[in-house]
Amino acid sequence: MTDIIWGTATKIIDVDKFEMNITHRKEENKNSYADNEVVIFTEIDIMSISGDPGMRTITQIEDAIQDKFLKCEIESRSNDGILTCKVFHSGAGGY
Amino acid sequence: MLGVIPAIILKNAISKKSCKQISEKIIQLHQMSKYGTNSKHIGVSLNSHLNSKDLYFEKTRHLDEKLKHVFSETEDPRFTMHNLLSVAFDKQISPARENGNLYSNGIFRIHDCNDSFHVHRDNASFEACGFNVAKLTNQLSSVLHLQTASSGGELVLYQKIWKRDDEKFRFPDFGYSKDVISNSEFIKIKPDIGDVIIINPIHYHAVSRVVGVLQRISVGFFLGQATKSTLFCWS
Repeated sequence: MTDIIWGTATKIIDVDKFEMNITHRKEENKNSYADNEVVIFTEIDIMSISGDPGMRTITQIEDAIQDKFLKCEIESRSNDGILTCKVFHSGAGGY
Repeated sequence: MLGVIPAIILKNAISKKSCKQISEKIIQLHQMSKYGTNSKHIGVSLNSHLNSKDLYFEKTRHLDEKLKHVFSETEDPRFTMHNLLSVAFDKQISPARENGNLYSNGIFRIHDCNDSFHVHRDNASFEACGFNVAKLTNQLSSVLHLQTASSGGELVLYQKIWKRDDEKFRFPDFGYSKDVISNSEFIKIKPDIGDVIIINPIHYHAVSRVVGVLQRISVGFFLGQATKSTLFCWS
């Protein structure tokens, strides 16, 4: 089973990388996660972000996910501590 | 000044007799349709389709066809509300469009005993980037109450507006932790049948738990300003 974390994107670092403040962790997660993590996304299920990193700009990523509440399915953690994830919007704040 | 007037209530916007007829049709449609008893609404919600725009518009088209038949001999409360709000605001009101597709024109919601709505806010300009309605300003929420609960089911409106930093209080599925409105003043509005309640949904709000056998049934949509004289609606 995949580990899952939720939180808000606090800083966009690159077209496939951002800092995240973690507020929720799935109960059954096998690994632990700090309150702030750096995430590289391999897939991102958000309409306004192209699946091709070559087609993205940092401004586009900022518009799409900066301060937004996201769900990250963890694929791996690199030796320098960066998480590699699939990223999704999580739920909604309203209707 | 934000938060000075909590809500505008248009009393007796639709007659109790019409509300009863509409409620009966909606309950019947809900029971018959593939929505099933797990879904407590009839209508298409933009926020449930933030990453599936085509599906949103397809479902909207399909449902609009169905509702045309449902309301073929009675008033469609969504259009009645358009007309009423058009007079009240002295502005033209019509469903939002995008590339020739009509946005959903309203959602009917059914709350059973013990149902409630968690604390939330509604803000298309933050949540729905990629959709045209995100560019509209001054978003309002308009809800017509077709059937009210015997007890509970009140609109709880907090004197606190959302800000970006509040996203840390989000719940994974929907809405916010109550910590986001701790120490905030609030009012409770108990609607009467036929009332239209208009709020600025950037204020946190919730629906209190329904008590009793009577379902709370409402229909609502959002309004946003395109020009000085034009409002578009969607759900």
